Amino acid sequence: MRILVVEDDADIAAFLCKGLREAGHAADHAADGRNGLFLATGEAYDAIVLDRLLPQMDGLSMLAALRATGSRVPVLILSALGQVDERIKGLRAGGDDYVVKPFAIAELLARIDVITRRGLMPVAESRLRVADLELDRMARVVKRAGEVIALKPQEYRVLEFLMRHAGQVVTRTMLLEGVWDYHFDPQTNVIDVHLSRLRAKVDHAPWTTLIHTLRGTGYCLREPQ
Amino acid sequence: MRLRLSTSARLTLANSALLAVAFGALLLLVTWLADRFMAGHVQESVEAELRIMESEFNVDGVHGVAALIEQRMLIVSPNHDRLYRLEGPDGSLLAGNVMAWPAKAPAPEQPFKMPSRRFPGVTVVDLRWAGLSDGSRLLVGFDEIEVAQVRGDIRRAALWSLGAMLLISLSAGFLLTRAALRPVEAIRRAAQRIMEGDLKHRIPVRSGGDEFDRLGETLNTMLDQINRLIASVRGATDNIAHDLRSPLTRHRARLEAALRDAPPPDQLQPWIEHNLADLDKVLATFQSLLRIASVESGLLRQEFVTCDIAQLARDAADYIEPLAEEQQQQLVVQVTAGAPLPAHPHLLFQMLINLLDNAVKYSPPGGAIVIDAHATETGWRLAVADTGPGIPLDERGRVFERLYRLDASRHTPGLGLGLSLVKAVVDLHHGTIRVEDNRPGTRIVIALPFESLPNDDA
Repeated sequence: MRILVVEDDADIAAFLCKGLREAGHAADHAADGRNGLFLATGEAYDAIVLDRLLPQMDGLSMLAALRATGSRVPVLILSALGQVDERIKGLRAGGDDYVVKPFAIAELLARIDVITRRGLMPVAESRLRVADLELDRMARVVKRAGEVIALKPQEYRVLEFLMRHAGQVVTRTMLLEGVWDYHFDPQTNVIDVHLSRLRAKVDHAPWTTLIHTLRGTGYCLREPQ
Repeated sequence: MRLRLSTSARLTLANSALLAVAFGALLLLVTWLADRFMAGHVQESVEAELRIMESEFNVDGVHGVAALIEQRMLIVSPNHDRLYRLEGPDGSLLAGNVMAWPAKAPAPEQPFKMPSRRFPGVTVVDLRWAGLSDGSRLLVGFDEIEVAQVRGDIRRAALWSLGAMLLISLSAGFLLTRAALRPVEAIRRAAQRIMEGDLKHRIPVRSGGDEFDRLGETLNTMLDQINRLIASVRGATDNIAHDLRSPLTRHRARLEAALRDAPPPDQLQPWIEHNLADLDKVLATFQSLLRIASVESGLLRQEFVTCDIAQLARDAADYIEPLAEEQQQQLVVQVTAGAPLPAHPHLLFQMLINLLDNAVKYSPPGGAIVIDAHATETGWRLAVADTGPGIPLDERGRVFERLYRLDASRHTPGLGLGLSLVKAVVDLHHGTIRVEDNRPGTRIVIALPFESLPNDDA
């Protein structure tokens, strides 16, 4: 994919571009808002990574100007401002997702993956299926190899989130934001405990492993290769 | 050009101008009344003189009248202009100082005026005439010199008193408003001193309790609040310096050592991961401190919404439950529904997560954790109890301090910030928190009131 990075800090920009290229994307860089807007309107990008505090034109103004031209390119806002209200402001201005600095490159890549595929995903699909794992969203029933598995509401929501993002990397932060209604700092490794419990129910031997742990990043639920 | 005047000067000038206008109106009224009275008085005198002359005619005839006129003209003062004319039926002058019958004279007994010939421009003469029974005509006229004099006297007196009044009103007004506005100057000076760095200085408040004292008290309360905020930020920075310096120093030392003696390639990966984990911990501490400071600032109160506390407690318990299960601990949820409470849902959830996480961490395997939430008459009571080692009595007050750890050797993972955030969230909701003995273990009891007290901004 072709991705535009709008970031004024040269080190962070270089780190971002390198990370994106290693993940197989083509990355362009703009160091200020005006230049970023110029590139974003002139070229066809699959996604934009946008810093909030920029010289010339701040990130949110640039985003508003970009959206005013009718562009619907997915935008991931990058910011040191992590307050809940700042986040809401960013999403309201037309951002598709919001990542708080400092961040891990894996987190960023996973989120870019999600926002660029959002348009392709059938949101209202009532039946999700990965290999022999089935989830009926109408009846709220989960089956593995035809066998009905009883899940607690919380486990069900985690599994639903993973299946909706099947094949994509899902980070712990994404799980927190997607499954729980609260914006909070998870403290210890509670998420991992939730996942291991879910696995014990839907992903244990002799079934083929579908939920994979990616060390230092998160999880991925995918078809066996 | 706009003239810039002080409030005191503006008030004084406005007041004096108002007084001057009122005084001017009064003066006009007095002059007009005096004029009317005096003019009426002259006309009456003229008429009285005519009647006297007529009586004289009735007694002594035309000659008597002529003699009387002669006599009157002798005693008239040089400051007056008095006119007389007695003429026979044929129009000949029998006595008096008016040579010709005035052309503009109206019917008899009708008052009329003519310019004074003796004092032209200074006054006029009020005249009146009457026909006598033998066909002769008698004309009498008195000047209005006195009217002009009285009018002048009134004007002079008025001008003097106006001047005196303006002087008094201006000076008294200036002194009074300056005295009344003196507290403003005191507030300005106090603010100046505070700006110059004397943060402890406060606005002097008298015991009177007037508007300025109330303003001063409010401003002082505001300054206290600002001071507390500054102190809390300063406290946070002190602790950052204290608790972040050591891991950063370790990190730096490791990097420096690697510069001299690079880790072998097969150990490079774990070495880097080790360093990253260290840095992440520093960043997490930093983030938590900032978050506590932002909660303590009280600004997040703007984000309060109506919350179902029972639901919140159940969600928090659901979230932590797998963790307890992993330790074979029993998580008991005692929650009853109740009235909603205006609160910050995300922070309350975080608060409960922190408490429950601690409870799981400190309870032994197989222990029990109880979360209790129910509404009382005044608010919500939330309690989290564990069966851990408990907190010694003398340390119960200190556990809410930033980066304070009961376990001095720091074996259990954690930043020592969880309870500080809990305390900050409780304060944000104007609630109270206390540590109780659970025999064995710890019970933390939180009371969140329905009605926040506006003055309890600690």
